[in-house]
Amino acid sequence: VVIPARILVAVDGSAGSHEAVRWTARLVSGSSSEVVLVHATGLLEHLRTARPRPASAPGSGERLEEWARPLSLAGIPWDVVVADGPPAQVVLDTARRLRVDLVVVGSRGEAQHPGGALGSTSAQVAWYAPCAVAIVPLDAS
Amino acid sequence: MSGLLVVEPTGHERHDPGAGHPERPGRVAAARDGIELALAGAGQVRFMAGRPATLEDVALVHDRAYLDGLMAVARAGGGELDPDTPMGPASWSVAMDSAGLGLVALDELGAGTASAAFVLPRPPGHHASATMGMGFCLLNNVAVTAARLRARGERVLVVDWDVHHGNGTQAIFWDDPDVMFCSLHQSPAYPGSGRADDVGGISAPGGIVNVPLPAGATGDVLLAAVEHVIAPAADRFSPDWLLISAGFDAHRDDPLAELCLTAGDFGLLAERVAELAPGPARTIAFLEGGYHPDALARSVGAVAAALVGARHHPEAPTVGGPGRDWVDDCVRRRMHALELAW
Repeated sequence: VVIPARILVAVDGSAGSHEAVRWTARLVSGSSSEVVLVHATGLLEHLRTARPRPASAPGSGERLEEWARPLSLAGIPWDVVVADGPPAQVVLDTARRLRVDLVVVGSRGEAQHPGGALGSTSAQVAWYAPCAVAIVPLDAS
Repeated sequence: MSGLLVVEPTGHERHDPGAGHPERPGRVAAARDGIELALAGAGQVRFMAGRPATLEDVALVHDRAYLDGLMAVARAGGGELDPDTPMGPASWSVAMDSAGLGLVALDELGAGTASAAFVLPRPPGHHASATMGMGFCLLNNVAVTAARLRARGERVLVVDWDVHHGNGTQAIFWDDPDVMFCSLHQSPAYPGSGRADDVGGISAPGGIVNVPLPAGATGDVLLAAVEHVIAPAADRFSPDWLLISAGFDAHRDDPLAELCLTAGDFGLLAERVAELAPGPARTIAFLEGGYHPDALARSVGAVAAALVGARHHPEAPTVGGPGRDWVDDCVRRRMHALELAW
């Protein structure tokens, strides 16, 4: 099995994104793959963050450390991109910009779509991503 | 009749994003209070209730699959389009009520009952695209009215001074030669769009005008942006109507962003932007963002007064913040992008 060289993992603090990070940690363990976490900053995060709030430093560092813990515990180095915008758009833009080989998303992020009536982030990413996409189910572990 | 018509939603309280969410029902009451304080004493304002848009009205700008999805979410009891944008069981009908407010204002202005209109929809609309709600927005209220006008063969100028870029409105009219979209917004900030060199699609080069501004920008900077970037483009476009996406989250007290405007700045901004309309009874302002109740009331009052040629500045205008060089840079970037587009 060839492990993708550069992997982007979408994180938002949800159970689905935690599972995506755990799955990625298992996938790349022992390889030299590069892992980048991407987090989309929504409007409400401005309320949770002390002002002034440059978008490049959203004050979410502690949360990101927590979200990346499965990688850190496995000794896997990781980087992070935080950007303002809707989650699917931020993930897709970052995937294109970093030319990643694989995008990993949880099957259900923080947003809920009853009945699947509206496209979820994972569905939009799967549809439009410029590379392979892994959608990790909640019970992947 | 001269004076301002204010069209209000009924029952919007049924869309309640929950405790702690800044897009709360009290925003409409705050805006109304601000208008009454500014204009009621002079007898220059009339309030009326709106009526819902029809499915055909909103389908002029939104995909049917998206509309069906919103209805399904509401029928299922609610959900979240994203972490910012919750829906409850009544959110669909409240959004339809809000989308109809501008259409009521159009009819009233056409009948000569007012010289300008201010509509107070909530939830706001300018982040909603044809296929996606986000950033508190479900239906794009200003776009629904612009689309009605466009269908009548009229040319529409949309000026959006909400602190966040109106990505939904931009996307809807990206390649439409009959609608010009102009935005003043903080950058970087949510939703991450609104570059100065985004000038529109191949059928409408120049139809998008974005002026990104840095945190801390004051009123004089926004006025310079209107003067040097938006007004020249709008004058060339020669609109039949002016629609304003009037967000008030660029106020210095607002918790969601870092521009530094006051009510006086919004008043001056509205005075200058109103000059871009082709004549009386051709301007409708739409409430977008604005999440500090007192700042919202003061600022809406200042804009309401400006729309009927009066001046009401409960806070003094501001000068001296950063960003004047951003305006000049915007002119250069836009010119370069247009040369490439043409």
